[in-house]
Amino acid sequence: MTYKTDEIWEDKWVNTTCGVCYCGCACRVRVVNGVPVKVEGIDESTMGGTRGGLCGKGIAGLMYYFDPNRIKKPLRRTNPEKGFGVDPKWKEIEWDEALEEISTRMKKIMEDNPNKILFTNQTMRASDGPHNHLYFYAKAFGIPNNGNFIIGGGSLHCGNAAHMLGGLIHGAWSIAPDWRYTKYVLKWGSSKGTGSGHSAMINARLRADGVRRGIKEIVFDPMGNFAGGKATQWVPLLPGTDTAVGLAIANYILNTRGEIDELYLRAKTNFVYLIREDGTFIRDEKTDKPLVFDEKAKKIKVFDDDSIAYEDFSLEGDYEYNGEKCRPCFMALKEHLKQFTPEWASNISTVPVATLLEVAKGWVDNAQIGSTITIEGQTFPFRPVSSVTFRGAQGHSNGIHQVAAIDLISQLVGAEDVPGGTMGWPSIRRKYPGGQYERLPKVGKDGVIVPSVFYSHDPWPVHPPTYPCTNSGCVEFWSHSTLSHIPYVKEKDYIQDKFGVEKVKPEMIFGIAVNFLISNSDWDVALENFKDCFVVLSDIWVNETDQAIGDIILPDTSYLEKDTWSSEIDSFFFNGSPSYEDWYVHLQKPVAKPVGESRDFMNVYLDVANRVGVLDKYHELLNDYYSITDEKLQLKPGEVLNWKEIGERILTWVYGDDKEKIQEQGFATWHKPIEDVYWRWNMPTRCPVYMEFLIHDRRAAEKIMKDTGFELEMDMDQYGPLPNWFWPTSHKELDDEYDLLAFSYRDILHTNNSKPLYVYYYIK
Amino acid sequence: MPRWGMVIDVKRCIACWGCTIACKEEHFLPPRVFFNRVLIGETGKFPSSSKLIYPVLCNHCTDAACVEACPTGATYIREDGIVVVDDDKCVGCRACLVSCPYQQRTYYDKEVKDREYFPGQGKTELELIGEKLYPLKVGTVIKCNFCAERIDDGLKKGLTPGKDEDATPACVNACPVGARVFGDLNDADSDISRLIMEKKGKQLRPEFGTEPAVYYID
Repeated sequence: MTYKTDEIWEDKWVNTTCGVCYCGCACRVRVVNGVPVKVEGIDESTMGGTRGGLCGKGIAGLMYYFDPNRIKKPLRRTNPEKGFGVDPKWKEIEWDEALEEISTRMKKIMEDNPNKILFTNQTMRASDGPHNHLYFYAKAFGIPNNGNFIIGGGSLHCGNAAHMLGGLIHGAWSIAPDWRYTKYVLKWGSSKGTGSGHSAMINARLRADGVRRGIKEIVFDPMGNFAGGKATQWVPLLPGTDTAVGLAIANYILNTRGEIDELYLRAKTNFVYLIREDGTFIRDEKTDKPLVFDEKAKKIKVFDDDSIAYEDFSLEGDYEYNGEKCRPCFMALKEHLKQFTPEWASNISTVPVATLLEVAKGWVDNAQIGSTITIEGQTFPFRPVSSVTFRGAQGHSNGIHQVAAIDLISQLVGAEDVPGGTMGWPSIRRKYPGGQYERLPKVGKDGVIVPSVFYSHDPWPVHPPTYPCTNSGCVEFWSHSTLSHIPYVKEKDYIQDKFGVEKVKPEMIFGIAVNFLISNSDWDVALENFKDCFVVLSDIWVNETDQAIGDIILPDTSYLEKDTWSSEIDSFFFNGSPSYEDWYVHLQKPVAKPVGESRDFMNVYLDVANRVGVLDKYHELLNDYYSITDEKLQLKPGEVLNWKEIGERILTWVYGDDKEKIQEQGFATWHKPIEDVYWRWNMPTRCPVYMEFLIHDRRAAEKIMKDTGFELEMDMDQYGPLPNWFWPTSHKELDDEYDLLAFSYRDILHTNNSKPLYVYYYIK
Repeated sequence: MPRWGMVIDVKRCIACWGCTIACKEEHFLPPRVFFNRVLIGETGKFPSSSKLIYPVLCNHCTDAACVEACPTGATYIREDGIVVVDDDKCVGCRACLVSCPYQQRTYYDKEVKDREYFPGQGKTELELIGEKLYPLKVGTVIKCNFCAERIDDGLKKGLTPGKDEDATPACVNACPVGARVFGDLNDADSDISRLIMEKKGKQLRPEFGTEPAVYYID
């Protein structure tokens, strides 16, 4: 069998970026006679698997282009009845008609209140491109608080609690083990390295090399799926009970073994901050900074006083400040942990005491507290143990405490952003050599890191709960959520009424590649909440949400047809170069002509902004977002450009003289300096492991609840500064008559949906 | 003369099916036809159980049962050890299907040819161009050929199979965790010979006496 070559007039490979999930691996597509026929990775790029390998899902991405069910023309609902399974009786309409209706409706609503329009997207790269643009696009319409009405809600669909702690501890969206140097990895409800999570194929490559090197991988997971099934040891546990095991391990480290990285705790955490009896920080009257005790000078000072050596920050002792008794909050942790015995954790989680102790012992033995390693001429603490989690463990009502307990294990041995430890990833975006656009985290209030970019709702500085709330997610009240779930719950109206949101009841939704109705646990409630809106959705297929409530559906191009020059620039915080890997930049380039009359949603955004009359404002926001100071490159009032033309300007700004070279090749890589990788000891930040702000926030929240007569049941004890044990709601609602628990999971072939398509059982 | 072979590191494999899909794309295979499959099972007793993940493909056996079974000489072993089917000689008797102890052969008939990726919606451009780029003959048996076209074209260009992408089987290139290593079993210094030696590579069902060229390490 041989190839027939006589009919081939074009046979080329185009370098681009995979768009099947948010990981966005490097890929190249073979195009024959204008038809994309094969997807492979790019060996020369580090943004992907071994030899540029891709997963089956990414390789199958071609079907996004060939699917005969792609939408080819704008669709208009003709059946006013909305609902799942109700035929919308679509009618194909012309683009101009669709855009005119959308912009006319928008203008009318904006005369009243622009906040009645909701913009939304999802982490669905099939159709999606630049994720972040939604936020400032909404701003161009005069909507300051689009809120966190995105990603189909902040439930199990996205890593709400994991992102909060990722931001607070690492200034990053997520975490991963430092596969290159680690020796002992604890994974909790996470498949990092076995096919899921951010930078999935990079992690898979690094893990595989690590496993070959002899890493021990212990997976706590209700299900022995690929993470557990491929681990050195799979430890089954009851869903949602990870906290109990984590706290018992922390107790073992601190109180049983007493082997902790004292220097790290003194230098890099807020455990040295002095608290009064009610647990709140004692603050300096003038500067409002938390206070610490300098053991050498025998004096109370502000936490960032340069005169204190790391080793002199007191972790234990009883002091007095202005006549008030105080002590380092580390002492509160030490006492607090004593209650979490292995036997107690075993009763809750079903993990046998012996297994728990064996894992805890392995952790301390492998942590090598006190050891150092020299890489590229620089010496770092060497802590080859890593404890990571993601969607599974954090997708419960006790999520923040789950993630905090899992993080505490790394904190106690100083294994945070040092070789072998738990890495925030990625915390920074270095500018391309010779170009612009650098994103670096800063040191914020109380010494806590402020992420350089966050999707929505920065984790720090945290603000106390306030009301009235101005957006549908009520994030002013739930001030710690990365993403809010409120728009989708049956109590939505009650909550929004109590918190004063009713005056901005949404009238219109403009969504990109979303399926938010079924990304939530209660489809019918979500349907009820949104069916009265005028719903415009752009996607490559008609999905369940489009069918159930869409009024106008706009055909988007898939990642194989669009020029998403900004893909990596915009989403570096969840697919940037992790760990000790080269820096890279990547473009997503069109490899085929748009299907039917489909249009890149970014061009639709621009067209609608122009029709509504907010294009100049959007240009201003774009200039600001990319920090363009070169006047020649700035987008100017009155200009009407398409997304590609805008890209020509911005890429010149971001890549400098190498713009054309990078556009031609599709990517570029360069060496990442070691201090960019292991930054923990080079940056004067402290991890807010003692979440003191929650004490204040509890008081503020309780006052609001009292003032507004808010009567929904909330577990206010979760507003506590130390990781603590709470049964998740799912367990509280169990019926003792049944001894079978069902829970959902996802595997590598699954992308962008959180419904329990797969159900697994756990017998109590 | 080289003897091409493969080592699959099951410790690295995470069952992402990258090999399965890359192979389908490389050979434009119709629905439900796979030259590369990933077999998944479990071993051990709860809670000390773990996943057994075995990617499988044609073993390109030295003593291939399919070659012995073929009455027309259509199935033969190339000098470099690759087992191929000459579709001009194959009469579709399917004796090889029955004889292959690894179940790696597929009979390509009209029903298989007519299958659509989107049933009832007609063939896509991809399927249509695939029939031109990689024509399969109705009424013959098809199977993995270690991407012999890539190897042959690559060698002509002076490339090294197993090292250079364009001379290496698609499944090897696709594997994101480096679980597949391709190379010359006759070269004692090749990566695969070294891996087989060091990690005690095993062939599947050696008791059949077929001497597979695909080895597994864990």
